[in-house]
Amino acid sequence: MRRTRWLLALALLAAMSACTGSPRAASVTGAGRTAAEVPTDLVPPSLVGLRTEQEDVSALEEEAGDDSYLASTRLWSLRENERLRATLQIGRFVPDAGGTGEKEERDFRLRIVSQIGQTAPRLRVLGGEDVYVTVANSQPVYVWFRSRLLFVLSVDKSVVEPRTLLREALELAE
Amino acid sequence: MKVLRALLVTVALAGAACTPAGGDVLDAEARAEALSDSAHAPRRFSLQSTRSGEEVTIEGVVEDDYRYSASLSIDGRAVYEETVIDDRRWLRIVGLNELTPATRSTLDALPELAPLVAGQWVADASGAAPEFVEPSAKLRLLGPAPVLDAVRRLDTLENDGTSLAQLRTAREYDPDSVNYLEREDKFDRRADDGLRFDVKPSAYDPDAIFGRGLPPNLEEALERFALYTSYWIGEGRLTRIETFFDVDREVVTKDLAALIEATTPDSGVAAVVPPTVPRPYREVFAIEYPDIAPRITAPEAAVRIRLPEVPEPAAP
Repeated sequence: MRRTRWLLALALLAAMSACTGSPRAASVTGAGRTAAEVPTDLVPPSLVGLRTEQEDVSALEEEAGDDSYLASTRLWSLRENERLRATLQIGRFVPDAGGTGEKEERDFRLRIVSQIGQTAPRLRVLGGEDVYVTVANSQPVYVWFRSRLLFVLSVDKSVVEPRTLLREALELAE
Repeated sequence: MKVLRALLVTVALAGAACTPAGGDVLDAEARAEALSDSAHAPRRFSLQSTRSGEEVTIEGVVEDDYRYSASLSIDGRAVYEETVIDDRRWLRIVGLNELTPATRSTLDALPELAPLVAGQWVADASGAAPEFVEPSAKLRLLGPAPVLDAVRRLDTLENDGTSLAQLRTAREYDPDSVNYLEREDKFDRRADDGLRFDVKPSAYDPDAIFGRGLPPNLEEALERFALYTSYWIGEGRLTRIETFFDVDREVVTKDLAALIEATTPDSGVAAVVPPTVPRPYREVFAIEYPDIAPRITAPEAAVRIRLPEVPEPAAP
């Protein structure tokens, strides 16, 4: 339960940031990389014309310590000029997170998505990939899982082409 | 030894009673799984809805949950075509005369819709229905969103607890069964479409409908007692859904009149306006799953517009 809470804290940070257009956090520079970390170059410099920049979530990560489903997490802001339009969180699950069988894994994923959103998640399949759609702070949140990675794309209501952004984000590969 | 043999015979009989001819068994879980595997699969579909002698047909192709293309016709006459790719929506009216006068008035009153009235493709960069908002805000043609409803028909079924429970518990069609009644068999056999599962309505019970006064939605209230549904499942996918709303209007009208009379004050002024008793209707929803997933492409030479947010036109 506590683990889920920490995951939620990070996801909500992403949602709230996109919603309020709050001042950006300090950018992460020169971050090292271990096998458990999310690669910093996973997200290109721009997505559908929105400039991407990695944000500093180290304080939250530190606070979560070992008590999280995520071994590491990174958060990118997506901006149009200086205005925040979306955030993309990518986290890597700890080795023992998730289920052993197909059903257990599906239940685990649904549990995660339910913790992130404020509405019952809807499954959408795009190009063969499962994406859960939910809402947090009145804005759409898209969640998908790939291998041991968790992707949470939170889009501001002002973005007129959220699904186009989602399509491009789905192209990201480790 | 004799006891053992008797036991084996009993087990064999019990097994035979539960297994339909041909040995196919689809338990509740397998049916739910078939629906789940169908709801988001690339597919082609055709929805024929017949009400009051008018047949509305929607034929569509679904690449994935955010990409589809469909056309709508009435009694075989094409009315409009629609394509959605992610956030974008294209629309073309090909049968202006088929639209209701109210819709025609709405179109004529908005100058920005002139290309649409002229039969050209129009494109709205953000015209696709939002995920969590009623898709009725954007321009409506012939109801809130008939095409989107057809595209999402299986997804809606999967997420509606009552319908899903019905599919899971529906009785497998078996005309050789002792429980089979021909008068309750409302659809063609269509063995080629897979195994068929029937949901039959309860016997008509006016007290259940009118016992607490006038129901807020009479058609919905009557469904429990008048709606026949059959599901066909073939090769692990839903291939066909047929529904028949078999309402006896005469009986319902009589019961409705009795209710109105009983609740009308002595002044003789009716407290409520009685609703129209819904007419019988039939729907056939057929689905195919091509081996090669279809690709949706944007119509060419579309005029870019912003589809207006307009209220539902008044019923003609």
